[in-house]
Amino acid sequence: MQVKSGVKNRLHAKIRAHLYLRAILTGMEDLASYSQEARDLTRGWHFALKIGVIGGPSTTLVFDDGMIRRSVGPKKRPFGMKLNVRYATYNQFNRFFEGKIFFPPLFTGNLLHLFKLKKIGKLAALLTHYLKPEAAALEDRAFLRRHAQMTLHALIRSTVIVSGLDPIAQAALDHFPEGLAVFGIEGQEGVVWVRSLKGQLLEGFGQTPSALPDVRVIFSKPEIVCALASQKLDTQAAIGKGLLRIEGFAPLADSIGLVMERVGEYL
Amino acid sequence: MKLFERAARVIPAGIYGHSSPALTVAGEFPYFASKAEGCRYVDVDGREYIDYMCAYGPIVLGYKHPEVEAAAQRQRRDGDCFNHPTYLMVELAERLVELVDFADWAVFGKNGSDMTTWATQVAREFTKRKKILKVRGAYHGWHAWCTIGHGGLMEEDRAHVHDFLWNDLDDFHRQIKKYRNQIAAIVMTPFHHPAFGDSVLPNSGFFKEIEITCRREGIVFILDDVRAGFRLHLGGSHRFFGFEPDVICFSKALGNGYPISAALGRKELEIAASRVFLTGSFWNNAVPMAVALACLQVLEREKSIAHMQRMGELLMGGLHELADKHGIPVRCSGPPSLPFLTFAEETNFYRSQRFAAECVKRGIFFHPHHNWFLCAAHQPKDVQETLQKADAAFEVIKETFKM
Repeated sequence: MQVKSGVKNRLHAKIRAHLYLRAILTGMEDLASYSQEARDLTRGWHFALKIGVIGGPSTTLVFDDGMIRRSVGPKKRPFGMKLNVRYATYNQFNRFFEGKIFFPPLFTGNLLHLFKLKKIGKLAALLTHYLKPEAAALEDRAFLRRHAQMTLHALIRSTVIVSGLDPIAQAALDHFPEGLAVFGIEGQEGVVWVRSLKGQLLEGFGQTPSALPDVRVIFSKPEIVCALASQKLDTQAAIGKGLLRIEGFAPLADSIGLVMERVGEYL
Repeated sequence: MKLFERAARVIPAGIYGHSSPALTVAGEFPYFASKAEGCRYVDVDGREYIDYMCAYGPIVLGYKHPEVEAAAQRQRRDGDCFNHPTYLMVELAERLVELVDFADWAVFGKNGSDMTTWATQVAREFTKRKKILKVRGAYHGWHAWCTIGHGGLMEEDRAHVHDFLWNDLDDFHRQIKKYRNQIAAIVMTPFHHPAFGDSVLPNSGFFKEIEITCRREGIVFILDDVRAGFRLHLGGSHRFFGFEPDVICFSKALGNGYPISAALGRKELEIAASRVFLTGSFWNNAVPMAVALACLQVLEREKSIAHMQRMGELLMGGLHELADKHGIPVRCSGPPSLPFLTFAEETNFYRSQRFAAECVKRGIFFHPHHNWFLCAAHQPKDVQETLQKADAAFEVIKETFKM
């Protein structure tokens, strides 16, 4: 599993782009359900925005009169009106996404939608606010709960993405226990699940593939999710204090945790 | 919980390693102990438990065994930690070499990991080969080559450590063929006792085939008898299962709770053993050696191993009967002196966790994910009390899981 430094840098950029596109940007779905401002910004929109790297990953967000969802697969084009925004390299996309340097992307599709870019920029700022809020914003408990839920979703999505691309995570998958793990925040609706099957991880939200998961991971309060996502949680101490409950086949949660730790390498 | 909160402020994980609450049923299991005697211990909140973990193995005669404590006290009067080892080290080596049929020498440490790791180095020194073969999922200590943890490891730590599946001779031979003339040692426990899994005894002929292969291939066969040692056979667990390794590692039960471990080996390995550096600040301490001598004496005189096996049979037979009575399918695995119970038809341990938590509530300490330990202090009356309380715990399982 030795990775040469040039290859390592390219791999790092590639994984980061995958995470931004498939784990972070897809948080727009949650954003629209949580934020009135996001719904107002996109009210009356009926189009799809595809953003990605040429020859690499992409995400299609479907805007439907205030609602946002990610479209999975090329066949599910809900509207003929589509705007494609494509970057030449992973690095260009990453640096744009991180707000460092603006590289002009390649626009194709229905260019009439270009006028919406300003509002999309506002949406992106809103997403950042929800995923990386200022400390003061977290004093609002309702906002904190939404932030934690979105963070948990992003973290689980990131974990699954990393499991398919990161060499160390892939090595861990060689001996990964199979089963279904469910993650949730006590008192909050909406669970996130990860299924380990035949050396692959899959994720989803809401309805779980099986009524009885092999392991349940329950965060007692939103702050614990935030601490975990920022790699500031002493997991064992949290379990001992009852702030984090793991019920059932703990080795599955432990193995997922190992891959989850790899996310910190990229984000 | 207050004590744990204090602990978590100054100790990473609050309590780390095998006693971490994360490995039991956090919030429902005791976290800290205060005192113990015989087969019972009291937690920091004053609740008493009949103990079937025996400090995760070391307590083989019972807590505060009078002869063991007297031996410790006698030696303590003369001192414990010196510039040199005492005559006790020689006496203990002689005694162990006498007990273990194939052994010609013995060395001492403090923990099982000290010995298993050192033994692999001796094998490398002897064979001038690099690779170590072990069973997948087997535990041989916390050192980098074998730890079950993930943190702080490099790929290089395990570059020469390879696995095969327990009881799978085809897989074993595949590895032997793949790494022919490169394998220094095979390290194995006498039975497979993975956490979060049933214990599995060796199939007939499994160990014999491994022994023959090791002889043929010039591989050092190391028996990690740290967990099972002195609970299956006084002369080492290979005698219980009928095979012969080249090195055997003991710890846990050797000192009835006092810190000591030992590795014993064949004459041919003695020069290699002498070349592999082995030391620690407290490894020559006399009190644990005095205790080990006393412990071995009591184990032999009282036929404690047979007693533990009888008590284990009584316990597991009783638990099985109770489960049957409630219509709950269970699996009992492992040898009677190191038994384990899991719930059939489930692999996620929800019932095991509930059952263990209900038992803890009633003063019985069973672990939901790790094999249990009997000790010589367990008496039929303790087992009867255990079964009476376990009956109520099974009732809860039946109700909770609608069985």
